[in-house]
Amino acid sequence: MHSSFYENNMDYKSIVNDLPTGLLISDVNHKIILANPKIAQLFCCTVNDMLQQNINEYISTPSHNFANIMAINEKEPNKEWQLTSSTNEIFAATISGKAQYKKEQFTGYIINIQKVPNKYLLINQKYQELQKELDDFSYIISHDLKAPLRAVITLSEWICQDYEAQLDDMGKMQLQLLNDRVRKMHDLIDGVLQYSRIGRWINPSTVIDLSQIIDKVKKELAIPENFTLVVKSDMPQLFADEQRIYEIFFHLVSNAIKHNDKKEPRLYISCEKQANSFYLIFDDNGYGIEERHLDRIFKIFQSIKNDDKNSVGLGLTLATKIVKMYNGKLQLSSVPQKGTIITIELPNKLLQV
Amino acid sequence: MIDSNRPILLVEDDEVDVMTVKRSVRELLVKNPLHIRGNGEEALEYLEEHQHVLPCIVLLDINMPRMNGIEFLSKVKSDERFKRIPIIVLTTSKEEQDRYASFNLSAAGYMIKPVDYEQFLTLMNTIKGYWSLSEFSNK
Repeated sequence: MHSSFYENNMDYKSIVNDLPTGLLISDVNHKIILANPKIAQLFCCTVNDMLQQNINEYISTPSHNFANIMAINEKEPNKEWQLTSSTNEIFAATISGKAQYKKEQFTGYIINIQKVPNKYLLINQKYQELQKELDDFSYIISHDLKAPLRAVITLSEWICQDYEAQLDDMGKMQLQLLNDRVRKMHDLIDGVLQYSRIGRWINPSTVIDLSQIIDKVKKELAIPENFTLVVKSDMPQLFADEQRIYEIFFHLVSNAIKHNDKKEPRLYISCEKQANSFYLIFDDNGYGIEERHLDRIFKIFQSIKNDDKNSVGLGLTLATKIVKMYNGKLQLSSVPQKGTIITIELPNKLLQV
Repeated sequence: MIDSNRPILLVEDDEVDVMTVKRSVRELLVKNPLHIRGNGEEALEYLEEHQHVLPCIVLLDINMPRMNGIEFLSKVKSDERFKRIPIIVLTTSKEEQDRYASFNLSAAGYMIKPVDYEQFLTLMNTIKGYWSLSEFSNK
């Protein structure tokens, strides 16, 4: 496609390549059929990455798709848009472009993109400051809430012990309920603490052997005897914060064990390497998750079972936050009653070569 | 502890946490007197005033008003007179920063206060067991 476009237009090729602004041409199906080096640079990828992709992959924001942007641009041609590069960096740009017609037939778009200098740096910086502020805030709040709560737990236990003779069954039961609820609250606050901690403190990166991490998780979790955990492929070595990587494996393996009622419960872990990323795959035969719950389980403190004493609803949230911290993605697909596959995509730069 | 005449110094501002330690010391039949100060500043004053019988160990909370545990630890460890006293951090903080700072300042241990009193008792019993065997520096 790319070369055929230039077949009769070789003179244009050097003009397009030297353009100081980004240029995109899409076809009637919104597929990108031409991209110049400048635009690839803006999106931190190569021209070939962009070709044949849907234009919405690039020219869109979380709230506006390509068609929305073009419609708004007609009224506000100088509007700045926050676009996202393939390395997840946000930059501001103005977008100008027009639908093209040949004999009154729509043939596609020609789009010109101009980056607004340095704006994305400021936004990114502001975003990171806000994130840090939020993490600090959650940390301080949760830490300070925990102290009085611990006191309530301790005192209610002592009342049960020291005044056992004076309390009737009802009194004991109420104290027990009080104790349960306060403990639950303690676990929740602990969850907020753990969540905020991920963004607040990153240990220096070291070389990590993922097979050893899995062994460590196995020991820590005391895996039930009938549970099969098989590592299906060679596990790579990474250069990252060992504690955080351990937490990803800990939470995902722990979830796989907890949410499984099969006679022969199992979890397969494997790794696949590709050009830019590698994938860690966790494949279990557990309960699975109905599609309508998929959004919910990623949110903090959400679990699907009622009043689940063993689970606060935190593991997946924490794992996702860590993966995002490394510019990765965590995706989940599931068939109810059959099992769940969690795929973590991480950039190859984390691999220790 | 080996020398039951030497006191244990507890540096802790939370009243219920103080009660917890007192109760466990009583139940575990620890003979040493337990002295309590509410923050790092008061604990430093205590050490100045008790130079003739320094505590055999210090149990130290981290989050306290006026002078927190980490500041206290750094003052004590840089003072020739006090730096050999074993200090065990006893805290709710699971923060990596706090552990890191404590061990950098030669803390003798870092214990996270369990939510359960029973578990706390086990923890204190372990501390007791260890320091019943370990020798102290007499000076």
